[in-house]
This record gives sequence, structure tokens and C-alpha cells, in this order.
Amino acid sequence: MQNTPNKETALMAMAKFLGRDVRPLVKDARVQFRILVAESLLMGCAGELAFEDEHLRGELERLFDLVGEAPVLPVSGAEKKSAVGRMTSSLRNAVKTADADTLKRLQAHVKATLHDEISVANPRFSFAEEI
Amino acid sequence: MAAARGGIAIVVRPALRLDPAMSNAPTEHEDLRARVEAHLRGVATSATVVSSVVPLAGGACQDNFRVEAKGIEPGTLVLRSDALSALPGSIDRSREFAVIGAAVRAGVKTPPAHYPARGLVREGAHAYFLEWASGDAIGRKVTKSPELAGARRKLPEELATELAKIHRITAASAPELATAEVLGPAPQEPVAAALAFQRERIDSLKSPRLGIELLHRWLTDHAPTVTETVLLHGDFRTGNFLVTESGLSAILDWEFARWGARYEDLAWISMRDWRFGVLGLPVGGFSARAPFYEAYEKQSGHVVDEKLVHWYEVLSNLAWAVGSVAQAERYIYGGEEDLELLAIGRRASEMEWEALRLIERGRI
Repeated sequence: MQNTPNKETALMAMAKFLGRDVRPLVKDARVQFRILVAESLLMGCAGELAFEDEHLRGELERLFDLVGEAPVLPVSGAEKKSAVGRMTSSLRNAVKTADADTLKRLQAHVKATLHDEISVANPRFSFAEEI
Repeated sequence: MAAARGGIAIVVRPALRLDPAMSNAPTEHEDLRARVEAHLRGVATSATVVSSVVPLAGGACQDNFRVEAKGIEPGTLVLRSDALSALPGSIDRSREFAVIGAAVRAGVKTPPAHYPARGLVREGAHAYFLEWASGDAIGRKVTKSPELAGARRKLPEELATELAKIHRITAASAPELATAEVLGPAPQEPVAAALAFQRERIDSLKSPRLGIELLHRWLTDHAPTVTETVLLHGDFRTGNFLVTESGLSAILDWEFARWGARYEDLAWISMRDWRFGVLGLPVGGFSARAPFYEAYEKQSGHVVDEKLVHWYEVLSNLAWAVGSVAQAERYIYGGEEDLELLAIGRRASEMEWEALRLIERGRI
């Protein structure tokens, strides 16, 4: 795992290559559009990789609090994702019968998680409350 | 309604009768051209000569081709066929053909559909031919192009006029649409029907989301009472109508037509995602709300209730969040390897955020 360049750099380089070198050569509008989509996906994945650990840690801390589990952070990324999946699934099942206070806390957690996801996937997105 | 909506799970249709790689190619395809020509000779006139059949860019849901023919009028057509898979709620081209017929009879500005077919593009797939209409549908052009600035000023009134015509169609006035073969019977309680439909769609997702679940709970807890049911376009928004410098040219894409509350259409056009970045103009990224609602009230005789628009705008964002995840699942599980579907799936978070913002704001 000491490869240089790292995954983020490689993905960003592919995105730049598609946008700068490939897209201008393509005449077909349908294919051109999909190259643009590919660039955007690659940049989004690069951003996710760069912030994955920080975002997963924040999400797990909120989830431990919501489900009332001891905040013991798993070591590996796979274990962290598995714990997020398990606790999120449990909360999802609880939504239908949750009381108002629980719903408010769940809503705050979802907003924080969405903020992390969107800020990486679409940096131009406005989070303003009044738009 | 569930049956009329074509089932809840992703509908996987038989493989395209072309090399799939070629279906995305810009060049015409000889096999399809020959089949189209044979079909048109059978149903239109034997003198028909088809010179080209070219896939059209755009449209993440159906297979569309531009057809150039001689010997029939008009000679430029759009062949629209069922795609390999479809989103829940999407009606097939046979049902869509019937809906377009009713819309044309009601005077809606939409291209007439002709020559229905089955198995023309893909085995078992329904298809038909639309008369070609000019104009731009691309969202960023409609909302931002300087050439369309004059048209944008006319759009609120023009679109409100067309929407009022669509909403005048009811199961009583168009019983041919209320059959099991088209849209099925109109629901007595459109709010409950809409919530039940979203519940089924959510439960069919292979990648369920906590945000979507929370939104459905809020909508259920705050469900309004609406008793009137009308024909809905079902996807009435920027990107689904054509605009020229003169103004509105045509309403397109009836694949999500259904019976429901008029507020589903009135709210859908103002969803944040359909403003194409022009957030300050909530109606489709080209107008403030007041001119559109005032024109709609004048044309329909129905007073727009902004509290209902708010609830339905939350519902719209929920529906499109679910739809976005379902689009990605068409790629992952439905055999449609189109990058656009994956990219749409990754944007579900934005719709969830917007719905939560609207809930916290408490008004549109």
C-alpha cells in the first residue's frame, strides 16, 4: 500500500485526462456527455477516498450515541463500514415507531452524514437554509 | 394502481435486438432501419423509404431514435421504445401511446404519436413514433441560454396553460385511460395512494437509506387531505419540454403519467434538482412561483394552496431520492451499463438534504 501515486491522485489524473484530452476529440454528444459523467464520478470517488476515514469516524461516533453502544472504534475500514451498516439498519427499522425526540436526533445525524457525502460529491452544492 | 404502474421491482426487458454497443453509437443501424421501414410500409404507406435511424442523445429512461423517411408526412419522426429496464412507476410505450392520444385530444401542446409497434427495437418492447418537434430541452440551456431569455419570460404562463389542460382530464372525462390496460382506476384517496406507492418503492430498494425512511415517516405524520384526482403528467419539469426562441414548443415524456393530486405536478417542477443551478427561480430555474401559480389559477380555476405545495415538494424530493437510487440499481442489477444511471444514483443525498431543509423551514 505504498504505491505512489496514491489512489486519489490516480483517479484525479484519469478525470483530468478524460476532460482535457479525450472529451474535445469526441464529436458524438451522447458519448461526450458520458465522458463528462465519468470525469465527475472519478473526481467524486477521489474525494471520497481522501475524506473517507474522517467521515466514517464522525458517522460512527454519532451512531454509537444514537444506538447507545460503547464508542469503540473498529480498526479497519471494512470493520468501520460494517458497523455503520449494522447500526444504520437498526435505526432504519426503528423509524416507524420512533418518538418525536428520537426522530429529531436521527434527523440531525442524517443531515450531518448527508453534509459529508454531498460536500465531497458535489463541492458546488449550497447548504444555505434559504436558497 | 400498482399494476398500472408496471410493478414495483425494476422491470428487466429482453435484450436489445441490436448489438448493445451499437445502440449507443451515433451512426444509423441498418437492421433497425430496415425493420422501421418495413413497419412503416405496413401501417402507413407502402411508398415509405427510411433513410436513417439515429440514436438520440439524452433521456436516461427510454430508447429514442430520430427517423428520417420519405413517402409519409411528417417525414421526421422520433421512434420511442421501451428501454431494457424501467423505473418503478414508468408505464410502457403502449400505455404512454394511449395517454398521449388523450392529451392531444385535450389540446395539450405535445407531439402526436403514431404507428404503435411491438418488438421493433427489442423483442417484446412496445414502441411508437412521435412527430418531430423543434426546440431545446436541455436544462442548462432552457434556464441559462441568452437566446432563450425571451422564451423564459413566457414559460410560466405557457406551461401553466398546458398543465391546466392536462389536469382537466379525469377518469370521468377520459374513461379509456382508466382501464387496466392503460392507467387503471383513479385512486379515491390520492395522498394515501402516493404514500403507499413510495412505501412499495422504498421496500423494493436493494440499498435502503435512513434519510429516505425518515422522510416517509414525516410525510405520513403530516399527510394532508386531498380528494380530487386528475391526470398527472408525472414528470412535469425543465428537461421534459421543448423551448424555442418563441417560447414553449412541446411537452414531452409521458412515461410517468398516472392519476393523482394536481399538486404532484405543481410541486415537481419546483424541485431543487430541476432548477439546474438557478436556485433563486424556484419554478424550473426560470421563474418565481407567483407568476406560475397565478397563471395556473387563471387557467384551471383552482386556487393553489402553498401549504400543499410544501408537503408535495417534500414528497417530490423523497420520490426522486428513491428514483435516483433505483436508477443506479438499473445499472447494478438491471443490466443497463449506462454511466449516467450510476451518476444519478450518487445524487440521492442531495434530494434527501433538500427535503430535510424544506421540513425544517416549514414552508416553500
